[in-house]
Amino acid sequence: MPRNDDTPQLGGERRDAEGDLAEAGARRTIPDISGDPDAYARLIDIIGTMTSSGVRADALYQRALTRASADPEFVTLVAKTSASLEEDAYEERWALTQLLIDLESPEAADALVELVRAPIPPEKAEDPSHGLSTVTEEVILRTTAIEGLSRLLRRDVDTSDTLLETISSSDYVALRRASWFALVDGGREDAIEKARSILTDRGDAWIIELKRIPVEEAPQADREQIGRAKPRPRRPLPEPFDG
Amino acid sequence: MVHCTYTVPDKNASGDNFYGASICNQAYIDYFWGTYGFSGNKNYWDDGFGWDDACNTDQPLARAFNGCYALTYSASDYQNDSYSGACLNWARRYVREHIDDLRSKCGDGTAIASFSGGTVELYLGFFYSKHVPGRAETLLHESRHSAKSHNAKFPAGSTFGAGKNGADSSWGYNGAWMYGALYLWWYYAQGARTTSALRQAARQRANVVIDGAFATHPGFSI
Repeated sequence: MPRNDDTPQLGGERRDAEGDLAEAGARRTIPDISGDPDAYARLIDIIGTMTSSGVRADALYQRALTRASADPEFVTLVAKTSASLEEDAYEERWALTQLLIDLESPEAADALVELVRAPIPPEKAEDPSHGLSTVTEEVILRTTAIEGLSRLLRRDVDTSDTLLETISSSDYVALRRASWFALVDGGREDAIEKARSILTDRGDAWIIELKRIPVEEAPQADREQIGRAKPRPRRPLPEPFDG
Repeated sequence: MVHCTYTVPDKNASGDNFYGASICNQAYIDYFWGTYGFSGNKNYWDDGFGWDDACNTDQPLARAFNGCYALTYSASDYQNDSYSGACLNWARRYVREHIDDLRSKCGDGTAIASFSGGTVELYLGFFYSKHVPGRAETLLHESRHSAKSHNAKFPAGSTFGAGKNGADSSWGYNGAWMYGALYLWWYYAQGARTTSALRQAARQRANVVIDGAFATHPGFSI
């Protein structure tokens, strides 16, 4: 039960109170660099679909991808729009990078390679472990792009040089690990052997030994520790909006 | 009174447009407010944080509700929150049972959220730098600080700052990083009412946490 009746009400009125005061400044949107309202609308629609929820969400996203991937100009628009974004627009950059890899088009290869090869800007967070680590965000964008390079490699688009270069030169374990598995999934034995040699030479043979396992096989949370929680009354749970 | 101004990222990219439009419903507001520690904390959610405009996804409260929605309904059998099941199922229960008070504040820009004595404070970075499932993961991460603090330094090659404090010693420590990564892993593997793109985002983030947030690497990857 609520401790008091302070639940927000739709259409409720604002009341003065203590606490901090926040206000909206700028509102960022994915820019229209196409000059083509229809193309821009398609881009915004598919981004909205990719981040949606509901029982039909993924089916709608896959259908949109099928339509869009047949259009090389759309792939180019996604790549150019991504490149136009500000460095700190991490959510938008992720969305466009993920879209680019999901389109699985050879036209996306250059943009993905460029992202993976781009130097990672210095950390901007004062406390990267508790704040927004900009290095972490940049690395996640690149591991996402590496997943795209792996998918292209499986479709005979040779992206192995970029993956080998990343294994050889990156300071971050996550990028070396992602590139290693991208090559393994790509299945090109010559590139895998080169990667194995580079990792061994730099003392990273342990990355080769990492196991990719299903979550069911991972060590789960210690149930005895979880169970120490103080149970609280359950409230009636509304149905999700998809029923 | 601290006064802050925030930038609202593209709401299609963050997922707030879709979630916000779908869950603008008093039944969800009542449930989230009464379940996840909002209740009794109106003073921390008004004055521009959204209490008076709970469906406005420009403002923090609706964006927090969107994260609560993902936390609550991302398991296909969402009604089963038994601790003997998947983390995707019991995460909402763990948050419910470990956050007494959930409050929003401007923050000073150094942290996204913090936990202290049953109170979780959420700062602007929570609302405006994380997509919707990422907010659910953060609620679980902070809840876990009710039992465990970080106890180690980040390893070489970590994106979080090698040699700095804030890591967990190991996966088996059962700390906040493990809980967050485990949630994201289940979300990737079995997340319902979502898309392959958001599940991939969960996988990428979980892998980066596995690679960089434990002093001793767990030895596996997703």
